[in-house]
Formats: sequence, structure tokens, C-alpha cells
Amino acid sequence: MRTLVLARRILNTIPIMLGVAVIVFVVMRMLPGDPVDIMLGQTGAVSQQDLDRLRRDFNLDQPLAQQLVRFVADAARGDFGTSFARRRPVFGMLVEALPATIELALAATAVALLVAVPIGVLSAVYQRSWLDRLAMGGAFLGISMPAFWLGIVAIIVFAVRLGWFPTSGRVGHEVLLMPVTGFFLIDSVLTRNWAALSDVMRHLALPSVVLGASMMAIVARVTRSSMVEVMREQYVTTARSKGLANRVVIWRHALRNALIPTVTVVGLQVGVLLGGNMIVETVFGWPGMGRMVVDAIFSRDYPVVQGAVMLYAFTFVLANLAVDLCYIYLDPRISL
Amino acid sequence: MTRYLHLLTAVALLAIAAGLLAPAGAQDRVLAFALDTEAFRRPEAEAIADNLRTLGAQVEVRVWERTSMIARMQAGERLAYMTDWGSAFFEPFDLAEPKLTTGGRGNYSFYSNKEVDDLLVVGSTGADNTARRDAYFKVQDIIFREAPWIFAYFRQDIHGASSLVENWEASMDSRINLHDVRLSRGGVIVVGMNTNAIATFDPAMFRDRKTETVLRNIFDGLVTRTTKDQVVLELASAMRQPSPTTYEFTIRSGVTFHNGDPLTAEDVLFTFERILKDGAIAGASSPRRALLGPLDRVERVGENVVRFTLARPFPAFLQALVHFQIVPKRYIQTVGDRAFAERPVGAGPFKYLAGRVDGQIVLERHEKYHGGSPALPPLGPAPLRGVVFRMMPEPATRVAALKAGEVHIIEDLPVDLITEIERDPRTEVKATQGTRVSGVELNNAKPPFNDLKVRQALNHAVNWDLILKAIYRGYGTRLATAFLPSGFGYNPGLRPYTYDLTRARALLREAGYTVR
Repeated sequence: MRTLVLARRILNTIPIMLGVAVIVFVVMRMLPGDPVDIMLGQTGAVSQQDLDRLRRDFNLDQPLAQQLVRFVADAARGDFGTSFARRRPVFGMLVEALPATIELALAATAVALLVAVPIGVLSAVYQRSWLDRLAMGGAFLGISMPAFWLGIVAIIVFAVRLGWFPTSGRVGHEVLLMPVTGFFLIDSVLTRNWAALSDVMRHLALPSVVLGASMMAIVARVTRSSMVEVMREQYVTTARSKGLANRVVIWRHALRNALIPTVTVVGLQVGVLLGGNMIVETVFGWPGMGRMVVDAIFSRDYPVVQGAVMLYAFTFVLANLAVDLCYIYLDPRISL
Repeated sequence: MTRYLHLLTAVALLAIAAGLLAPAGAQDRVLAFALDTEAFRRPEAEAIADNLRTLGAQVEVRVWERTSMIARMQAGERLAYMTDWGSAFFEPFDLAEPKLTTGGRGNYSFYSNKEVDDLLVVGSTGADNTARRDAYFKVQDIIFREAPWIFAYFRQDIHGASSLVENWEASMDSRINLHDVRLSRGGVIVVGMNTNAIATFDPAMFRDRKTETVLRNIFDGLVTRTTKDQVVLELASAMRQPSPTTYEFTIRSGVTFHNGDPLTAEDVLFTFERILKDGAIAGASSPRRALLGPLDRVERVGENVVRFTLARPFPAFLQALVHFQIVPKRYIQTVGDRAFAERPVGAGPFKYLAGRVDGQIVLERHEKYHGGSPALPPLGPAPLRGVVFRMMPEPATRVAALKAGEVHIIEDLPVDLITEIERDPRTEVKATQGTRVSGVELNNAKPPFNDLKVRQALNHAVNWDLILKAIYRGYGTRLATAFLPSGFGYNPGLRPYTYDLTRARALLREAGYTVR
């Protein structure tokens, strides 16, 4: 029964992805600016034949409806076309850029959860203490500060003034890292390149904290409020009356139930992470998908934007599915 | 009753006073329009608007995203817009021609003048340099007089460099030539690029300067350019021009590509055939074709002599050739165009080692380098052990990285960050005469700018000297027209419109507008 429901959920993604495909196709073409014009730059020495030839090369001379059908049909087969700007298959570009983005997003999530969950729990346990006030004040700041500003401040303070971390990039040029999976943390472990591992971590530190900042704040607040509620439940009192240690009651009994809203929020934050990474990747010169998309939008590189948005949508759908699966683990009463 | 009388008198007096203020037949037409700009030129646009407001004009500044703005300009929807144009060849033809030719690509001012069109053709295709120069001088006279836009200035290209960098000059074609550069500490130089990614490693498949900046350190061309605007021989050891439409180059002997293959006339032929022929690069065509102008064919006429034949004279041909780099025929035919674009092999001072077009690109010294252009000493392999180009699209990040000592050269320093670099003893500002002409383009097809007097008045009304000093900190030079001083046929005798409010007022009044 459960597998059937799961299968239906997976099948549901097809119409969603189709809708996303049509919308992104139409919206991209509503933007002013001709990709061929942008491709050839604003300098002179461009003949009409050149413009026509490039349009033909990229099928831009065909009617829009025909282009749309072609795009959807190709996308279904995993072919997102060729980038106008770099003349490479978009799929290959996405696959190449994806590990950098995922690595950053996972690091940001990990940093956010490792910091926010304990803080949320402690704030709930020591309600209205100085720790609670400090943490919630910090969370308020975390939500309010735009990632762009936070990123630049972090660079100026921790990279330029203190010199603890590099200003940008994924890995220093003096470290030669053999790419295996594209995830540099994993690659450096696989190749036993410990110098690279520490260098990659140093590069990851600032962007992941900046990207995770808003998530950290939200998660801390949600964990706190749901923890406060759970602590009032009868089974917590029961657990206490059984004579269990306070530590066990809080971290094992209460937290597990308090985490459900947290998981929901984390799932929703995946979308925010994907959006935020465009800014963070640009500020930190991180060679991932976010930066690629920003660049592609400005150069009206339709295939790249289309492919990337499809991938974003797909990731989002998958993340939601994962969240639902987490519910089952956390609370067996919930079914799909 | 008396009270009403007093009131009546007061009203009557007021009416007379109002009548005196606006004498019979008064002009009540106000010059009103929106000035469109991209965000980065907003302070300049506001200053221009303020200047015009002192004349009584109503000017509103609107900020646009670049491509949206261009699309609307092209559609003829907008009236006045801040534009800037880059020249690729240091010749007036690729700045003035698209801008001024009637109906030409980039004639966003919708200016139309048959005489100018004809003169531009003489200037860009003639074989006789005196006639060409005369034609260009005449064009400048005409457009100066007719003022199809508010002429302004050319911006310098401003870069930042660490004080460890020795022997580096910012070059006018905004390329970063690292062959002769040294570092007083360390052997690997890191360059912060103002882009998300370069387009490709294939010198036939791009149209942007950022890509060229990287590629010209990996590849060499038949000719190159000094940091000023002189074209000098690089891979060619001699050049002859037997007729206005033929150029013959002798290929330097003993040059090897990074993979050890010798560079021969065959490679030169292959390089240009690849660009001339449709669909020659893995099914795609080179977007650089048009830059070669009327180049018709390339053939071998001797052991190591190559002849270029043009369909008609194209005086800018040598300038154009600077931007074409020689690729290895045998290597490309063996591995294919796609693989070549992933792992480029050239004959330049540095060879590709690792990296990606959107992250960082690591190059190492080519030990068997032929030495470079004899006109650009010193010769021989590069003093640097390696070069890293790192993509850093955010200006604040580039400046931070330069200050932190992580990069040694950064491209495109925004004006508001210049002081940061100037103040720091470990960094310095490097500026060079740029090739971008900036100004305010006017829609000549629509009122109020279809009136010559209005256009001239605006040219007198803007205090450019103050704008260049206050906003651009002196990193800009005024221009009389759209011609660059570095290009052929520039008329140095033409002085820019003077800042003259009296003259501007008079012209506006003549055009029938209320003037304050």
C-alpha cells in the first residue's frame, strides 16, 4: 500500500514538471532582448547574414509553438539543448555545476541544523533566560540580514581583516585536487588528499554560514516554539515521573516529536537555499548552478535557464518527498 | 459694500500682475522628457538632469536593466538614454558606422543622413588613406554640427593591481597580457576576472573580451597589439601588402604548440578556414566571421607564406587580425573540436593545466615559447611559473580578494571602490585609455529631439567637466563626437561643445520652449 502511494507521488511529478517547463519557456521569451544580439555583443561589425545564421543554428527562426514542443520533447529525454553562450550541451553544464551547488547547500543545511536545533531546544528549556533572549535576538537578526550584505561583511571581516578564510572560490589553485565525483569534500577524502580537504573546508566555511544564516534563524525559532509546546505534553510528564534523567527526556522523548515542524520548515527552506545560492555564489565566486543561472538570464541563454529551472523544480519536488518520508520516521502515525 | 470693492480691486490687481508676468503670446511649452539609464550611471544621469532643470526643463531619471532598455530604445519607445559603445578594432568604423549609419545596427538615435552614410563607406572601405581621413573629418564636422546625441566622453578602463606585480600595463584592448609580468614574491599570478564564466577555450567560438583576455595568454596570433594601439608582428616574421586587397604573412619558424607540434602555414590556413566556413566547428559556425570583414580566402603561396585575399579593401584588416589566434590543425583533427575546447592547445606563453571556464583556470609556463613579438621585449619564456584566472563577478569581492592578497590583478574597478585601492599601500590603480564611448543618445525621429536646436542646446547645457571630475574622479576624457582619439581619422581640432548656459537658453528659446 505504502509503495503504491509512493509511486503515485512520484508519478505526480510529471504534470508538475510539464507545467514548470511551459511556464519557464514562456516567461524567458517574454523578457526583452534578443539572445543573438546579446551573444554578438554591442560592438559593430555584425552582418545580417551572421544574425540569421546564428538564429538558424539555434532554431530561433522557428515559430514559438514549435520551439516549445521541441523543448518539452527533448527535455523529457533529458536533452536540454545547447547553450547559446557556451555552445555546449546544457545537460553537461548542469551536471558539472550541480555538485558545487549541492555541496554548498548541504553544508549550509548542516551548519544551520547543527547550530539551530540545540539552540532552539536550549531556548525552550531555559525559557526567558538570558540565553533564550540572546538566541532569539540573534535569530531575528539572522532573518533580517540580506545574504548579499551579510556575505560582503563576512568577507571584509573574516577574509580581509582577520585573514582566517579565503575570500572566494571552491579550492585554492595551489592545491591540486583530482575531481572524481565533483563533490570536493568527498573527492579529497577519496584521493586521501588531506591538504585539499582542509583547504576545501576553509573555502566552504563563509559561504555556507552566510547561506545557512536565514535557515538557522528560522529553524531555531520553530524548534523553540514546538519544543515549548511538547514540553507541556503529558508523555513528557510521564517520562519525568518514571525518573528518567532530564537529558534523556529532553533529547530523546521531547525532541523527536518537536522536530516535525522543523523538518517541514527545512523542506521548505530547500527552495530558499536554491534561490539564495544565486546571491551567495555570486558574492563568493562559487562556481555553481546559481551563478550560472544568473549569468544565463542576463545573456538570455534560454536553454540554460530552462534546464536549470527544471532541475530546481525537480530538486524541490524531491525535497518535499524526502520531507514526507522523514515524517514517517519521526511519527509512525503519519502516513503518506 | 466697501469691503467688496476692496476685494474686487485686489482681484483686479492680481489679474494685472499675472498678466505682466506672462506677457501676451507667451511660450508655455516646457521641455519635458525621461532620461533612461542603467543603474551604474544613475549619479551621472541625475547630474545631467539637474543641469537641464536649471534651464527649466523637466527631466525624470529612470533606471533600467540593460537589455530591457536596449530593446525599448530599438523599438523607438524612449526619447533620451545613456548608452555606451565599445570598439573592437580601434578604428572609427566599428564605433561610428553602426551608430551613425542610417538604419544601421545600433543606430538607436534614428539619425538619418545620406551624406554621412556615403562618407562612412569611403572611410571604412577606401584604399587611399588621405581620402579616408578626409571623409572621416567631414563626418565628424557634420555630426558635431547636427548633434544627433549628447556627446560625452570615453571612459578609462580601470583595474586594480597588487604592488607585488611588476612590469604590467593595463592594455587598451582590455586584455591582460601576462607574458612579461613578474611578481616580486611568488611565481604564480592570480587574476580576478569580472565575469561569471568565460565562453569557451576555443578561439573561434566567442565574441566577448573576457574570453579573449584569457585565451590570448594561451594562444598567439599572426599579429598582436602593444598596450597602446600599435599593431605588431607576433607569429608572423614578415608582412607584405602587394595590393590593397592582399596581405601576405611569412610564418615565424621554430614555433611549437604546447603539445610539441610545430606551427606551420597549414595551421594558419586551418585556423581561418574554420572560421570562414559555415558549420565547420562540430556543426556550428564561428560567431567571429563578421569581424574578418570582406576576407574572401586564405591560401598558401610558399613554404611558409600565407596570403589573405579580400573582396574589397578593408583598411581595418590588420586591426581585426589581432583578435584571431592560431590553433593546431593536427591536434584538433585528432581529438575533435569539442575535446579541443575542453583542453586547449595553443602556441602562447602559457599552457592549460586545469580548471573550468566558470571557476578558475590554471595555466603554466610554456617552456618552449618562441619568445613573443620582437616589438614587445623582453623575449623568451614567461618569467611567471603559472597564471590563475579566477571568475569573480562581484566587484566588492574582487576588491576584497585583492586587499587580502589572494589575487594580484583585478579587472574593472568600479569608480566608488577606487579610493579603497588608492588608500591601501599594497595595492594600486591601473588605468588605461579605454575604447568605450559614453554619452546620451537622443531619439532624433521624435519631438522634442527631432529639432536640431534642442539637441544643440542640450549639448551646451551639460557640465561634463564637473561630472567627469566629481563622479568619475577624472577617469574619463571628453569627446567632441563619437570618434575615439586612438582611432584612424580622428579630428583632434574639433573641440567639444562648451558648457554655456546662455547659449543653451537662447537655442531652447529659439526652438519655442519656456526657459528659466
